[in-house]
Amino acid sequence: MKQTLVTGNEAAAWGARLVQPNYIPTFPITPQTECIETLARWISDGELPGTYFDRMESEHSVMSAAVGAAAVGARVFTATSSQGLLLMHEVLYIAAGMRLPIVMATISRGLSAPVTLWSDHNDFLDQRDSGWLMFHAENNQEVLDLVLQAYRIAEDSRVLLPVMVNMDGYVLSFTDEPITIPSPEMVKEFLPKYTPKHTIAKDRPVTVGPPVLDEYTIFRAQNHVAARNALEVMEEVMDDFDRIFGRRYHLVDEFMLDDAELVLVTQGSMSTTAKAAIMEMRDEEGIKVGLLRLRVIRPWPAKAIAEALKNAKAVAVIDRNLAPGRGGIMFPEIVETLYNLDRRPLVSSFVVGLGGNPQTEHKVKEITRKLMDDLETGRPRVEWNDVDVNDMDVNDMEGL
Amino acid sequence: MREEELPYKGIEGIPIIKEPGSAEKINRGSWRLVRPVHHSEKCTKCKICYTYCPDAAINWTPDGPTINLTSCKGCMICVEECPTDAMTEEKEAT
Amino acid sequence: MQEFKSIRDLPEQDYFTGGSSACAGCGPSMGLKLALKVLGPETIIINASGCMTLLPLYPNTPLKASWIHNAIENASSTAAGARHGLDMLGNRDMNVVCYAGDGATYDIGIASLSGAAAKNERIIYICYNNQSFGNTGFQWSTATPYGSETKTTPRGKDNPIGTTVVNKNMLKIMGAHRVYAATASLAYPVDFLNKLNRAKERDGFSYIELLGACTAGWNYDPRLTVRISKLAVRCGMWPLYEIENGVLTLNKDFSELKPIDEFLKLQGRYRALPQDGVDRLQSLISEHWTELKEYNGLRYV
Repeated sequence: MKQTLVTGNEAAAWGARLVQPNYIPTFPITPQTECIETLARWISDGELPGTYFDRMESEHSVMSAAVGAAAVGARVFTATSSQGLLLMHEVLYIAAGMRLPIVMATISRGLSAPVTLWSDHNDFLDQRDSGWLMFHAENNQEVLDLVLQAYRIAEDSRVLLPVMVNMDGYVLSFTDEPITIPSPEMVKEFLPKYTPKHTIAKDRPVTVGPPVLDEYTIFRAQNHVAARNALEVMEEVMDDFDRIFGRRYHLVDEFMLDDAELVLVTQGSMSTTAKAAIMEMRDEEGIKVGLLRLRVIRPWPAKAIAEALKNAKAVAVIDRNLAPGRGGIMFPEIVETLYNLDRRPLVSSFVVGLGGNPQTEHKVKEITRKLMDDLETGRPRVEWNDVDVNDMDVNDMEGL
Repeated sequence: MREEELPYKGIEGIPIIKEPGSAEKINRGSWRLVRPVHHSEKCTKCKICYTYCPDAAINWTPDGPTINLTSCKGCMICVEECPTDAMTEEKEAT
Repeated sequence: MQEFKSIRDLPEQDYFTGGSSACAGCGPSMGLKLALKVLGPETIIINASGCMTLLPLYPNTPLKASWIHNAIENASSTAAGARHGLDMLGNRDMNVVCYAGDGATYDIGIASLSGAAAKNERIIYICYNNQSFGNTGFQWSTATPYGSETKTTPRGKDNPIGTTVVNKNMLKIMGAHRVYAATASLAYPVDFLNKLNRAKERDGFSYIELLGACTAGWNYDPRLTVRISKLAVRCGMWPLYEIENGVLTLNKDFSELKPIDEFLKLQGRYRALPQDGVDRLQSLISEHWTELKEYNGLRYV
């Protein structure tokens, strides 16, 4: 075990190094590149003797190669971002449908067009119906820890599904944070050797990916059951993780919710900023505000979310993504989760931080005040909180 | 709110085929309009019919070819290619 | 290396059974059956979406070897993953063999194919070329020869020729990757399986392109699959040759080619091709044949 300063990209690479995958297919894309460069360096230095590091011709090929390797029983790791994740989209469904426990770090970046390098969550959330299990980390320690947990969950015989571990581009991927890197012995204790039972082997000819007729519904249902099983498995794995590594994780991350009347629902790195703002508002203004961070996006931890929000009077869902023509993506998911409860809070929607637009403490406080206002008037709102959008002189922009 | 009722407990339904060659039992004989008939007296055991059968419906034995009419779809490549007329075709009764 | 001399020498074991839903007289099925004789059961066929994808239909398969079907454009990258997965798990002896149609090879899958070939992955890639997107009902691909009618290049008042684009020279493209590249025909199974044996022995990428006569798409009597495959070679539509280290070897040389008309007249897809179309096709074929003869034994790419 050692304390060190690493970026989010390096934290993901450390996670991979500790689980020692057999195969890492890669393709560079900003802001993920540093992750695969780190692994390439270690491979060249002989740090990962049991791993083949492959350089593919596209992200589509990366995920295809991951499927090929996983189908013969190899443990696979990869990483991508943004357009690359979208290019993989077709094969993501195939990996999940074939029940292959691949683990992939995704580094969120806004989607083109227009081109942006900075982070928002559209790329990640675009995969939410793919059948993959989806984690979203808040900081670099969590990135590493979730990669380790992802393998335990993915390879569990009750699950057998691929897992994505997401971090925000730049804010985490290129920011050094102090983290604890566990010893290989502890990881060995936590993560057993992978013994696949359904894959191709020399003495076991298997047909993977055949067409089916009426059985389609059954296989889709099994995929759903396996994803739902994952909730229970995740809780077990998080308990075990705590026992071995001494760091406690839950399906959702609750912050100052015990007496909170107002709750901000967030995802990813903006939660850290929001938590700081919440402490200030509590200290300086006595506002009873708390935060619920969505750590697990798939399977959807509905019970944990409903339980965490049961005492709230008003909830602000802060979406760092946009479904044009609809709004924030997580807002309707939260509303649906609360809708059938006996007592449900008012829920407002805020779309923020697209293409890396910074989420400052000031903005978090502004959202909280608006939510207080909504609670007072009894009228929830759907709003953009990016003041810059309103301040921008659109008349200066070409084509407007 | 009620618990979601999950349709199939367990995850044993992984979409793979574990039995190699299991299609052999499927009857494709019903596709045939004509059937090949082998005449061993004319056969030189050249293996051409056996080699060219796209459905592996002609098996090779020390005595020459045998035709598996469950698998034979009646393409008549064997009849067409036989150099000694040891394969002929017959109409299937309809 | 075992060298087969005649059909009588070919292995008597089959790792392919009947019962599939392929058409009667299917060329690509015959190709896979033949290939498995040499490849054996410790083989993974990596299939690209196409007609052959329907050989296995849950819960049955005619294969006595393993099979992965991923999607249409990624057989080569799936194979690369399977190859390295097997190697890292200590299964170096298993064969990884792509079996993909021409649409999946020439068109949508060429990036993945080129990547695997450039890296010289230990994979055998067999393209069963039926000169079209066959499984969707015979549409044009860049492997479709000049003058062939397809569902997306139908002959009509404004387009009497049908396919006006000249097909890609895929073997030259693959030869330029410095891999072993060869053509093969169902009518020359000894040549095909010798090439496959050679590919199997190689510590790197091999590309074998098998003309996969297609009874439904080419529109001919199923009994003619082998005859048409032979005519394709004899008329110069499908010359048998190989490229290794950039050097070309013509495997079947003829002092004179048969006129292309003998190949065309058996198939519905060329019915009503006007004479000037036939002449243009004949000159394209002659041009290619002359080039092959000229470079026979020499550095070609």
